[in-house]
Amino acid sequence: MMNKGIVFLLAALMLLGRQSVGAFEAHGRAGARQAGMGGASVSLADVWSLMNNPAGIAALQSTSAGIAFQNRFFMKELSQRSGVVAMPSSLGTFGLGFTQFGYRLYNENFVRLAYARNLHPNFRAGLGFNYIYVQAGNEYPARQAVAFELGVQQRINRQLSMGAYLFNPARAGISENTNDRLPMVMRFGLGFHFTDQLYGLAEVEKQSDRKPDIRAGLEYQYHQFFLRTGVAVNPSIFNFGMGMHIGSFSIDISAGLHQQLGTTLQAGMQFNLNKVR
Amino acid sequence: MDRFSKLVIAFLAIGLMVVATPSRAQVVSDSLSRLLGEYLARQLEELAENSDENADFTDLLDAYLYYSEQKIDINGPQVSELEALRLLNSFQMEKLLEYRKRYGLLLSVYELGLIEGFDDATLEVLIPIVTAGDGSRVQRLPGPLTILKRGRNQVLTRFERVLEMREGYRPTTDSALGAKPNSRYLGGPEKYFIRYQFNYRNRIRAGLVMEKDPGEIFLVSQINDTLRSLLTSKPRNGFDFYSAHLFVRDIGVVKALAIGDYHLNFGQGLTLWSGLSFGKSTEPAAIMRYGQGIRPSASLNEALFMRGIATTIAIKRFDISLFYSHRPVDASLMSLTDSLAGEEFLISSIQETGLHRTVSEYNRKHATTFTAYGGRLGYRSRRLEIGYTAYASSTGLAFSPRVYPYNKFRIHNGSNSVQGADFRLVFPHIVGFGEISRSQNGGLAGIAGFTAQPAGFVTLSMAYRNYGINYQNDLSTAFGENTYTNNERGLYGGVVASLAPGWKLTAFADHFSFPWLRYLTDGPSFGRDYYFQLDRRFNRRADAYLRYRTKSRMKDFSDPWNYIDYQVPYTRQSLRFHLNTQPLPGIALRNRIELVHYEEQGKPASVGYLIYQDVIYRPAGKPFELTFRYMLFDAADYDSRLYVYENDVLYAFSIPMFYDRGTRTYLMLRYRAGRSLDFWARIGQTWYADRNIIGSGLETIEGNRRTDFKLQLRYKF
Repeated sequence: MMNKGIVFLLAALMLLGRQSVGAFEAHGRAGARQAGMGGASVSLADVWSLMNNPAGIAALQSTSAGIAFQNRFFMKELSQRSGVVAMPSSLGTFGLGFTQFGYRLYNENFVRLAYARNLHPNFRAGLGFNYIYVQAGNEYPARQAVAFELGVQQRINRQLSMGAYLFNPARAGISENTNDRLPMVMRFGLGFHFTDQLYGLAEVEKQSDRKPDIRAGLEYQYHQFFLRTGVAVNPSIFNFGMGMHIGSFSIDISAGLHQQLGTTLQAGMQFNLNKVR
Repeated sequence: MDRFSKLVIAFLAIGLMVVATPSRAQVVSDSLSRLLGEYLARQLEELAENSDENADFTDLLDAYLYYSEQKIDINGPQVSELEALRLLNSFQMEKLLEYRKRYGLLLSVYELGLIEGFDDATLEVLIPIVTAGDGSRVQRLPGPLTILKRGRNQVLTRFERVLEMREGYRPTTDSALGAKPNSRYLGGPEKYFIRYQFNYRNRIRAGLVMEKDPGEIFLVSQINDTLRSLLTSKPRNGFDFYSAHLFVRDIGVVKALAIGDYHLNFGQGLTLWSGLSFGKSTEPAAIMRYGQGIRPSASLNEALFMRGIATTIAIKRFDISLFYSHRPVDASLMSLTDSLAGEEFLISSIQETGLHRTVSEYNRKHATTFTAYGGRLGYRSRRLEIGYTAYASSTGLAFSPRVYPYNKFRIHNGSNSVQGADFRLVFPHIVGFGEISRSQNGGLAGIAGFTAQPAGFVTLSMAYRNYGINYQNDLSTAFGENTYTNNERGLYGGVVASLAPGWKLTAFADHFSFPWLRYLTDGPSFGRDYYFQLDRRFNRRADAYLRYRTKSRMKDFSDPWNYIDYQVPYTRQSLRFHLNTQPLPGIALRNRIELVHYEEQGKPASVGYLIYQDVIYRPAGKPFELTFRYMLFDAADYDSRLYVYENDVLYAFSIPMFYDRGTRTYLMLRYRAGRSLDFWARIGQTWYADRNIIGSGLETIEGNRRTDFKLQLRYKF
């Protein structure tokens, strides 16, 4: 029964893979914390890992949720709303998240269901299923697709950890009329704890239809405050961010500066719903 | 026998004479230590890529060489020089001062190793140039006779020439010269340089520099009569360039006094900074400038110094500096004939090369003047330094340059005034800095940034700069991409991290844009610069680094069929591996492999690489040292050219550029003939496999080799 399900799913993915969208943005990456560090996030483990590398949610100790809002270049048409919730259980951690980008006449919607668990104290893996729905104008039919993704994270030693992530390896399509496909995305990165207060991370991302991007960032913790900065190479963006923890609640803001296009702002908040010991 | 051979013989005779006298070969550490040399070489290579070929870096490096000879007392007030020289960062300086406060004076330089943040590499650079003195305050100056008797004197003479015949020196007929007077140089192909320096305990310094560049007049009798009649001023025997200075420090309230040629370095270099600066160096923390105030100038850059008088008076925590400078400037003039007032002249352009080799170059010499006067008021406390700087300047004649859209905002009528305020705020883990400046026409420029140390072994530096398109300042050398401080906006971020003992990571990113046109860039443009370097120190005898850099900018599309020059991006990437080892005592090896890839839209990519092997033989207990390099280079064209630092005679720095295919070799000998006399000889040859003609214009050599030869003598007494 299970096998049949997988075969059906794969067949569906392959069929969908025949078609689909040009500049598809919402393949993941959400949360104001990663946005303050150049977007490097593949080796981070927090509730937003659900959108960045699902393996990360296996590190959560308690049920957590977060919401974030992003605006690009102060244009209301270019904003993104996202929300995540992740719940650890004895079987592993389950998560559900969404992002919505755009406005009434063009929007990209993204729902992700993820499952992650620790396979070893130093190694965790995650799997996510995505439902993508794109609406463009009133005249055109909405387009949809299903894509899956995989991610792993490993703690190499006390200081160093790695993360790797693969989105849409089956090259799902997103249009019935054209050959537009969702991009395949591969990311690999390292995180390094210089001290308990200073964390640095770097990653490389390759999307099937773009030049590789390199991102790096630093996070500095001062009591319950966080200062962040980072840079992404392609497109070239400098990032700055701040965060604060107040009990089981935390907020983050970030700004990304692009030379020609301007500023991207993002704000987010996270809560831990119940502490497991 | 020509004059060249006579000179060689004279030099050799002196050398032999010296060899014959029994020498007490005592090791005096006066050349740069290996690591310091490496550090400077790296900075210079970066600088050479962005400056013109004839730049003389002595100015920038003088202080390093100077302190290699006159050690800095780490217990004394002069220790702050180490920060100005970028040998210590602000955080290390803070730790050193804290250590001194807590444990008293350092008993030995090796005690520096106990201070937090002083790693092996820092110590290795520092120890040869510092001493642990008694930290005593400034003493009263003795009488002038005692000063003269106890002071140290040094005379340096250098002779240089290219051995091959170049077009500009080739014999020709008078009629050909009459038709084309600029087709030959006025003087001979030799370069002569003499420098005298006096120093009394770093308190009183005096110097005299004399120089003749290749092609310039040395003996009037040598000049061809046809050419001589064309010279607008009467030529004189002797050197082409003279510079002298007297510099005194710490006499009562007078902190510094300079008479003659000097430099002014204030704040972040936005309002007033004469001479060169390291610009965008490979050290992210170095984006913050450390203005040293008044410095003596002994440079050969004939257009980048101040001449006159300058002084700094210190009263408690305030510093007041005042200066006046008036120096000749080379310029080409345009005549405005007026039937009533006779002939009048206007400046059409200013030359900064300092070369006076042909009739037209000679006639531009000292055609006008540049006068500047102004001052600075500074306040300094333990945590805060603030300053206000203002000056006014004018040129001797009015300007009437050709106005193109690209220089529309840069040129001005000849007189200008600039004022600016700067600050530096020092805390144990973060240093903030900035400067804002305004020129007479209302143009504004500003820079602000910080350097922070969030963990003991990680330094993060960031700076934002915005130099207005109409900001005008001839004496500004601020951090940035542009040669002139204007028309630029940029955000820079860099990090240096010690990942593990012996491993160091340096990386920076710089995004910049030019809102107005630039030379050969007929539109607003932007660029990016990324740098990544991993340093590995294996032990005291071996270290290596791997570096990758990619830099993109924009320029006009070079298609002759295009009537509209739109902007296309070009990217230069370089990858370098460099290894230093000392396999045996007295033998040091250096290896480098470098690859350059240049890509411009609409053109095929161009690739260049080089590989070299250096051998440095420095036998213990022997008075000589040999340096040898063999290098292969192969670069498709000028776009993929490579810059390489070469070891040179002391006080000379060469960072030649290579493209096409060939080899470069050089051999240098240093001989220490006793305590007071040193002798250097250097011969280098570039051989091209794919050329029959080297160079262009008057520098053309018919052949595929270019051989340069240098001799230098230094006498200390």
